[in-house]
Amino acid sequence: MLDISILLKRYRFLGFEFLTWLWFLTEKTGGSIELSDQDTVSLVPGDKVVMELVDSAKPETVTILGEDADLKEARISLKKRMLVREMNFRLKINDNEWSFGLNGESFTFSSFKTPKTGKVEKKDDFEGAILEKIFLYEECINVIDTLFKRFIKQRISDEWTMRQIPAIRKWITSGI
Amino acid sequence: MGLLSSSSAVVRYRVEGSVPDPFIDTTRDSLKRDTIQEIDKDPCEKVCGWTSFQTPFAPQFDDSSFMVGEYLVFSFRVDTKKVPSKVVKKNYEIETARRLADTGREYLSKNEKKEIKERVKNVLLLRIPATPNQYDVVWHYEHAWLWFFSSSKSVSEEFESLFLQSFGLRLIRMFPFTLGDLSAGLSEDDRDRLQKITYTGLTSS
Repeated sequence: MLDISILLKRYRFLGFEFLTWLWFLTEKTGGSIELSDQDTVSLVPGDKVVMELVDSAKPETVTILGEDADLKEARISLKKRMLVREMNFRLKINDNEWSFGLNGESFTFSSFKTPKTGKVEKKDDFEGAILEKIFLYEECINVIDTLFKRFIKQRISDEWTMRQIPAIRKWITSGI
Repeated sequence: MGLLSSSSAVVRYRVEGSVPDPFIDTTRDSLKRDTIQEIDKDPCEKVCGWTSFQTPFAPQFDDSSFMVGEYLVFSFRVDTKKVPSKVVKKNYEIETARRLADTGREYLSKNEKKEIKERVKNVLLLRIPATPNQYDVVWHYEHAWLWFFSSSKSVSEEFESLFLQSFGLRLIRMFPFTLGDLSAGLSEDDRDRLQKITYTGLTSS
């Protein structure tokens, strides 16, 4: 494998494409995304989007913030050939809710909040609390990984240029 | 910003290679060897090392409390001391004036000035306590993945470096390309395709 810093730079666009595709997917499905025949989760954009012009000599970014961030601004940026560099999401599985930001370049989860867990009051509670928290982080990360796998398989196949890109372009110009 | 915090940041890694058997003993030895050292009584500006997740200010790896179920849970601690530059300057000027008065000279050599500055800084470093920062680590040994609870690039780099030193294992950061290449279950042909992809534009024709 090549040096990590070279790979990060060469394939920097990949995470931006993934987040843009993910935003498209949340709108296309109304936020109700089927992971498998049995599993459906709710995934919707949160309160922050950072857009970036990927193939430009001059870096240009647009940040949209706010509890009810109006994605119209971000959509205008898409029309200007920008992609999503960072985006906050809210994930719901049954009664559990997570919120997190995902960075398209580093794939770092930030402001990562899991459903509430019980307080640690005694030393004996520690192990259970740790395992519960790990389980909750993992549940959310697995959803993103499942969606990323779906994306990457499309991205390297003809389906990307034949179906996904035309559908995304239609969404950008005229909505779902 | 740690594992049990209400809000946190997580960087993901894949761990390359494995710890020699007996796994728990080898891991414990590695953690003990590079346990954080206190620098409060030392003129040291920065130190990093491993500490216990549950008792970060009293690290101990003698038992197996770092094994939680199928995970290894411990912390990376970075202690730093920062002497404000204006405090250094003030004390340096006082010390320089004293030296000139004691020797009856008008000027000090470059080496003398350097020596005074270093001594002043060391004295000040001995007076201030180090500020500790704890970053949690969750390592699923069997599945060879690891979470590091920090989004700071410089802290992550220090962590990666100490991890390699302690365990002799390289950490591969999971960002979109490495995640696709190593963890998405792609066939060899698909991995070749992934390596060849280029940015073709998504939002314009």
